[in-house]
Amino acid sequence: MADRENAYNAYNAYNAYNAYNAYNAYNAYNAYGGNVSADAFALITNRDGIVSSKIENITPPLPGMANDPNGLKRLTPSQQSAIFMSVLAPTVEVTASSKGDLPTATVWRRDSMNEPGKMRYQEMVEMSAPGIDQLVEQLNYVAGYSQIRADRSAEILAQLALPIPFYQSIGYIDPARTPRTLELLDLAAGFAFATIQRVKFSLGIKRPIEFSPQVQPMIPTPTHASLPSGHATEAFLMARLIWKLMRASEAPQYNDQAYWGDMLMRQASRIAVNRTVAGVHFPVDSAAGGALGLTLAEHIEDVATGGGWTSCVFDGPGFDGKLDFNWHALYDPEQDKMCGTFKTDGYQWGSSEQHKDRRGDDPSALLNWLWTEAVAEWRDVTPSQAG
Amino acid sequence: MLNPMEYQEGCKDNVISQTADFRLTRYPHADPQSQTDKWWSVLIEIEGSIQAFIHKAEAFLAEYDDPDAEEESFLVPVAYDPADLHVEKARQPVVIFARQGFVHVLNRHEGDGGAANRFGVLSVHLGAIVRRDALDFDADWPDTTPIVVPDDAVVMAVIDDGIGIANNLFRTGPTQSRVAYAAILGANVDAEGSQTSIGRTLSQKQIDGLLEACTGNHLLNEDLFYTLTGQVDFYDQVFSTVAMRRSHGTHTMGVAAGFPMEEQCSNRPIICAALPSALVEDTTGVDLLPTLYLAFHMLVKQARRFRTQAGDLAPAMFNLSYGNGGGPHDGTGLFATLFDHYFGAEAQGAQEPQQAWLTVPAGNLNLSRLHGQIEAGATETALSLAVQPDDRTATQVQIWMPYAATEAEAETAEIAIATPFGPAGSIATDGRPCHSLRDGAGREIGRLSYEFAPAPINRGFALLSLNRTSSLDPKEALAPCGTWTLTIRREANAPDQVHAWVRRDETLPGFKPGGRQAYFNNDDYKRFGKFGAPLPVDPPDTTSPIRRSMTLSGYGCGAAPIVVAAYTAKQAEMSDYSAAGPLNRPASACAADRDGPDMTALGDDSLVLRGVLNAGSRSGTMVRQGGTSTAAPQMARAATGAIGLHGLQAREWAADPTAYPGPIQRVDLTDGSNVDRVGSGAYRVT
Repeated sequence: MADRENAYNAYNAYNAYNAYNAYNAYNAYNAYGGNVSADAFALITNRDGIVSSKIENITPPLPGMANDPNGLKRLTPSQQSAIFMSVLAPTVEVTASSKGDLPTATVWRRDSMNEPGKMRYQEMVEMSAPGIDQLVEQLNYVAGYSQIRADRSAEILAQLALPIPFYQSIGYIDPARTPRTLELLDLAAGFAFATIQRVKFSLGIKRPIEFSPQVQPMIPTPTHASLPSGHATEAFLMARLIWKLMRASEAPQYNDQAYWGDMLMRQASRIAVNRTVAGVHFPVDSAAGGALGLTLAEHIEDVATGGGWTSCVFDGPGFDGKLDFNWHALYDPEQDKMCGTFKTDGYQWGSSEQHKDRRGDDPSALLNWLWTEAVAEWRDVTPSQAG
Repeated sequence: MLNPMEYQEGCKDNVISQTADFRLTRYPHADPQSQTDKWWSVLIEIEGSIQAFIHKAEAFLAEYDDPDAEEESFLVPVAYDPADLHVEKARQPVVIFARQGFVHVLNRHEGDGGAANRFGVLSVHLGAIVRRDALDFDADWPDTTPIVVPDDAVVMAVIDDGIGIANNLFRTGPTQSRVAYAAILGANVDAEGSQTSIGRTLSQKQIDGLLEACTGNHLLNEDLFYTLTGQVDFYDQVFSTVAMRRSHGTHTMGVAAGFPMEEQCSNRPIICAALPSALVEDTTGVDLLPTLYLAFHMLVKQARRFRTQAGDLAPAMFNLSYGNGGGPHDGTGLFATLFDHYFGAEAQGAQEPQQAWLTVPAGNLNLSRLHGQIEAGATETALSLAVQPDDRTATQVQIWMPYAATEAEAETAEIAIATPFGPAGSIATDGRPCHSLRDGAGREIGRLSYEFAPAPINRGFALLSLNRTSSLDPKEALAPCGTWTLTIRREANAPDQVHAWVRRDETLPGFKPGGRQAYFNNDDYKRFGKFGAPLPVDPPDTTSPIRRSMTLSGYGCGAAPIVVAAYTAKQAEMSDYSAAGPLNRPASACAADRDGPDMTALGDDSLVLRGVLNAGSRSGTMVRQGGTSTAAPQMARAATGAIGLHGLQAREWAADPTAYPGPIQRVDLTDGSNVDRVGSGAYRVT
C-alpha cells in the first residue's frame, strides 16, 4: 500500500530522485560499504588481537567546532540536509484568510532571524484564488491541450518524479561533479514542498477532473488541491536557482548570454504546461506556481547570501479564464528579475516588488556555506600550478 | 423557411447531390440545437457569373429567410475578387460558405415547389462543417501589390495541413521569414484588417513581426508563435499538428522548399495555405475538396504578385500532398479538374500567362482494397464490403458505370445491396434510382442511389452511403458492421468495365472523427505472394474483382499535374503502397491522357526505415514521413531548375526530367518497367 501511494504521489520525488542523488556518489567512497554487521564481528576479534588490556596513550585533540560551517563537510548529506532545513523552514510561515468570497493564502517571510526577539513578519507572497467561473473557462484549455498527450506522454511520465534530468540536460549537473548543487536543489524542493502544500490547502482549488467526466487525465490526479501547481513551483524554483548559480559562477558562457536562463525558463514552462496536457492542472495553476517558485528562489538566495528579496501578489480573480500561461509575463532572465506587473493580453493578474534586507537580516552562515560550495561547482577549473 | 427539419432523411427525387443530402440529414449528434445554423464549406458549380448567383440567392433569401435572423445565410469569400465575380461561364466552380438550411435549398433541383433552386447551381459538393469563428463577413480584399524577386526566382506554393512556417528552414534570419504569404484556414478570425473570409492570412511583414515578438534572448518561442498566428488555440480547440513533433505540412514544405538559414536563399519565396487539421464535429465524411479549391484560388492569385526585376511574372511551383480515393478515375471528376481549372490551358484566360506547375502524389492506396473492377461481359458480380465496427464516420462506395455519350445511351444495370443479415433491396439505373435502407425502427441507416453525371464525366454513378457503425448517442441510427454485399447485374455482353471505389475515410493523425476504413473483401483476392510478402501488383491470372490497378488518387487522375509515385531506396523497388494506373477508359473527350503516375521519387529509405527524414515542427528537428506525399514535393523541388524554361510544359518535363537543368538524377529500380505504377522512371533529388 505504501508503495502504491508513493507511485501515485508526484511529490514523493525522493525515491525516484535517488538515482540521481548526490548521496549515492558518496557510497562508492564509503569504506564500510553496506556490511556493517559482518564487519563488527571481525572488528571485535581483531581488536582483541592487537589492543592490549588498557588504554595507555591518550592524545587529546583540539576542541570540536561549534556551529561552524566548516564542520558541515564532515557530515553526511542527510545530516547536512536536516541542518539546512532547520535553517530554511522557519523563515516562512503560511496563513489563510479570505478576500470577499475567495480564499487567500499568504506566505510570510520572517526576517531578523539572527536577532531573537526582533523577529518580524513581512508578506512575501499573497495568493488569492480564482473563482469557479474562471476555472470553468480554463477547462477549455485542459480539453485543448489533451490533443497533444500522445506527443508529450514520455515527458509527462518522466516528470512524475522531480524533473532533475530535464535540468541535467541543460546545466552540467552530476552527483560527482555538482554534489552541492544537487543538495541545494533537493533542499529547495523539500522546503518548497511544505509551502506548496500549505498554500494549496489554504486555497482549496478543485482539480479539472471534478469539472467534467470527459477530462480523463492520463495520470492519476493527486489528491491535493490544484492551485498553485506544485510542478510549476518546483520547476521554476529549480530553474531560477540553477540560473543564479550559473550567473554567480562568473564562467564566461553563462554571463555572456541570457539564453541559458531563457532556456531554463522554457524548460520549467514546458514541465508546467505538461501537467495541463496530462489533464491534472489548469493554466492558472501554472501561473500561480511560477510566481511562487520564482519568489522562493529569490528568498533562498537571500537567506544564503543576503542582498534582497522579492515579494509578489498573485491575483487569481485577475487571471481571466481565457488566458493561457505564459512565463514571459513573470520573469526576465536577463535581469534575473520578476516583472513588476504580471500581465497577459491586457489583463493584470499580479505584481512583484524588490526589497532590500533590513538591519540584522544577515545571511545564514550555514546556508551560505552550501551556496558558496554550489557556486564553486559552476566555476571554470583553473590550471594547476606546476611544481 | 430554411428549417432543415423539413428535410427528413430518406430518398427524395429532387436533390442534386445524394451524397450531400445523405450527409446533411444524418443524426445531428453534435450540437443538435444548431442544425440550421451550422456552417458548411460547399463547392458549387454554377452557370453564369458569381455575381448573378449572389443576386439570385439574396433575392431568394429576402423572400424566404427568417427576417429576424441576425446573420447572412451564405458567404462568398473575398478570395473571389471583383473581376472574378463578373466572369461569365457556362460552368464554373465556386466555393461558398453556407448555413445548413441554405445548403439544403441549394441542393434541390429546379422545378421543385416553393423553394426551387433558382440560382443556376449545376452541382453541389459538400465539404466540411466550418466553425463560425473562422468566418469573417467583413474581410477586405486580399493584397495584390507586386513583390519583386530575383530573376531566377521560383515561387514555391504549398497547400497542406500543419505547416510550421516558423521553422528555420523557411527563414533567412532569426526574424526574417521566406514565407511571403500564409493562409491559416483553420484559425479564428483576426480582430482587425483581415483579408480573408476564412481563417487568417499573414504577410511576410506580419510573420516577421510575430517572429520578432516571440524572440527573446536569441531564442524563438515557437509554441508562442503558433498561438499568435492562430494555428494553435487550445482554448478554442483550434488545433494544428504544428503543436506536435511531426506535422505533415512542415515536412512536405521542408522537402519542397526548405533551405538552411545560412544559405540565405532569396530565390525561392514561399506562399502556403494551411488547411484546418481537426474537423472535430463532422462525422459524416469530411471532404476537403471545397477547401482545396479555395486554397488554390487564394494561392494562384498570390503567385501572380511575384515579378522578376525584369518585370516578368515569376514561375510558380505548386505542391499538394493530399490524396483521395473518389471520382470516375478518368480525369473528368471535380478532383481531377480542380487543377485544370487553375493550371490547364484555358485557366489563365486573357491574363498575362504565368508558368505554374503542380506536383501531386499518386496516392498510397495500392494495397488498400478500395477498388473493385467489374469486367466487360460479367453479368453478375458480387463485391463483398467489410464495414468495420467502431467506425465513427459514414462509409461510402461509388460505382461508376461505363462512359456514355448521352444519358439515353447509358448502360442499364441493377445494383442490389445485402446487409450482413441478408438482402436489403436494389436499384435499377433506369427506373428505381434511390432506395433507403432502414433499421427495425424505420430509421434510415443507408442509401443506395443512382444518377447520371453529365458532361464532362458522362457516366452513370451509383452511390452506397452507410451510417457510421458506432455512436456514443443511443438515439443515433447505426449501420451494422460486418460483411455487406453489393451485387451488380448487367446485361449480357456489356462491352466495358464498371468500377467501384470505397471512399477513403480512415482518420489520420491529428484528425478526430474516428473513421475506420471499410474495404472490399472478396475471397478470391490474393493478398500475399508465395513467401508471404504483400503482392504489389495484381497476379496476371486473377479472377478477383478487387484490384490494385486503377487506385490512383482522384487528384492524380487529372491532365495538368505532375503525378508522383514512391519507391523504396534500399530495395530499389516501388513502395508497395504506391498507387497504380491506368485510368478508367473509354472516357469522354475531356479525359486525361495518362496511364498512371508521371514519375517516381523517394518514399522510403528502406523497408525498415520507412519514410524520409526532413523537417519536424520545430526548428532543427528531423522526423520521418513517407508515402507518395513525401515523393511529390521532392519533384517540386527538382522541377524548379526547369520550370523557368520558356514554353516547357509540366508533364513534358516529367517525361524526361534529366534532360533539363535541375537537381535531379535517375535511379534504376528492379521493377521499374511497370509504366502504370512508375511513369517515366524513378528519380532522386541531388
